Amino acid sequence: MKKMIFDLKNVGMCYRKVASLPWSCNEFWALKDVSFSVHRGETVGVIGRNGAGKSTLLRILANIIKPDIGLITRADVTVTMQSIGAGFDPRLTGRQNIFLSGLLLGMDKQHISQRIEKIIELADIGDFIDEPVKHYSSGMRARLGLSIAYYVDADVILIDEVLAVGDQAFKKKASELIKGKIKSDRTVVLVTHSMDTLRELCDRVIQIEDGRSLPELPVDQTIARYLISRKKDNYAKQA
Amino acid sequence: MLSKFANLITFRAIAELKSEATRTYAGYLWWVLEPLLSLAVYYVAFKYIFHRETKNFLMFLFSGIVIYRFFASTATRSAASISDGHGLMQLVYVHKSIFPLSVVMVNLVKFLITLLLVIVVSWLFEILPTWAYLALPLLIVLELMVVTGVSMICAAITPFFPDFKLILNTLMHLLIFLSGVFHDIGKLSPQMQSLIRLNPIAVLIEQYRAILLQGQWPSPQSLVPVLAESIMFLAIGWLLIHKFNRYYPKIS
Repeated sequence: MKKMIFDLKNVGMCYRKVASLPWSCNEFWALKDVSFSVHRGETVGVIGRNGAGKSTLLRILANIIKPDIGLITRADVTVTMQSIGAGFDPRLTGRQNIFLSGLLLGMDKQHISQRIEKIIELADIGDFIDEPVKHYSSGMRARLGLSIAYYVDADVILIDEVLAVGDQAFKKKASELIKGKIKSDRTVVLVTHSMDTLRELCDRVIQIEDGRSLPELPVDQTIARYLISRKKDNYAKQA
Repeated sequence: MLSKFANLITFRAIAELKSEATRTYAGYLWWVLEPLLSLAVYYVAFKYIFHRETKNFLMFLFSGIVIYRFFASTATRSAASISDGHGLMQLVYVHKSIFPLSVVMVNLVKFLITLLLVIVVSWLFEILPTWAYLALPLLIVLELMVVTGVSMICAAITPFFPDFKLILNTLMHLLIFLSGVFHDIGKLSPQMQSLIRLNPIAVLIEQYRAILLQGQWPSPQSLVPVLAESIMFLAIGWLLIHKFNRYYPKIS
């Protein structure tokens, strides 16, 4: 039996509206009842329609928010969400933003200093590295963000749709890098809409509908179930 | 862990200071211009409209304004800090105290620069340095503690109660009159004095002036309550933010 990393039992979480007191009830349940577990070294895909609660689930795994109901057990591991360009300050240069974003993603200063040349090389944006990020194209911004995220060391990596940002060339580069990282025997939880990615990379897939996790099936069957539910939706819309 | 935390706050503060300077033509100069301009406004109002005749009124006013500004502007800007960090806190886990703490650090740097300006200008008015200057770091640390505590409390409240930001603005307008920025609180009636001395900023301004303008050592018995209050503010602020640390990202 592999070591348990996360174990969720009937987890639910609700968002509150601004201007509400901690004990008041104007809330929105993004997750209602989610149960699954993740073991060391696994790559687990998460699928579900828009608004099903996938991003909220990653936030819970990243320990950004605590569930309101249910139970989550986590191993003593470092977890990082691969947020591209988290905390970028557009008025600062690329180089300064590497430090800012790196610190936010949990790297320490030495770790960043040691890797900064590699990060810059990977980003491949030339002299723009010493320009303020506000002068960057969105593609350049994404490249820099991805390069930083790539050099974050963590036991568990959470990925939210990064395979689908930027232009074609960038997408290709990004997905190669991410695939390399996933295959390197790390624990990964991956939210994606790409069935090809799921088939290629994931050992298991969790399907979430309307805040609830569906009973777990093998990858191919889960994908089939998901596609059927989407088809039904489309028919319902047309009718 | 602690060094990561400190690095993050420092780096955010440096980033903010740098980018703030690039936002305007005068850049860094504004850190000095802003307090000088408000000094000019109040000086004209009190000297020529209300005919105030305090000795060295210009320096009296300038020191008061600079010390009060550190408190007021840090508290008001901190109040919005956790709410403003909403986008960021969805992406990465950070202890939410870094938001007000980096505001405090930014304003501490500006405060130290303007305090230096106060000291230099006072020499021009022939108020010369004395050994009492050695007590300045003590007052700076005490004020920093008060400011940090109050800022964390303000930052902790606003996400639940956004109207607090506006209330705080009014509160700070009121407090400038209750902090002895324009008046010597030592000249008030004893009842009024004991009331105003509950305000740690009023006591601090008075003690800074004792050092800077009269060359006197600060009085320890008046600073003990300030220390007690600052510890209380720090404790309340920290506990509040820590309690809601993983709750703030849920407020949308």
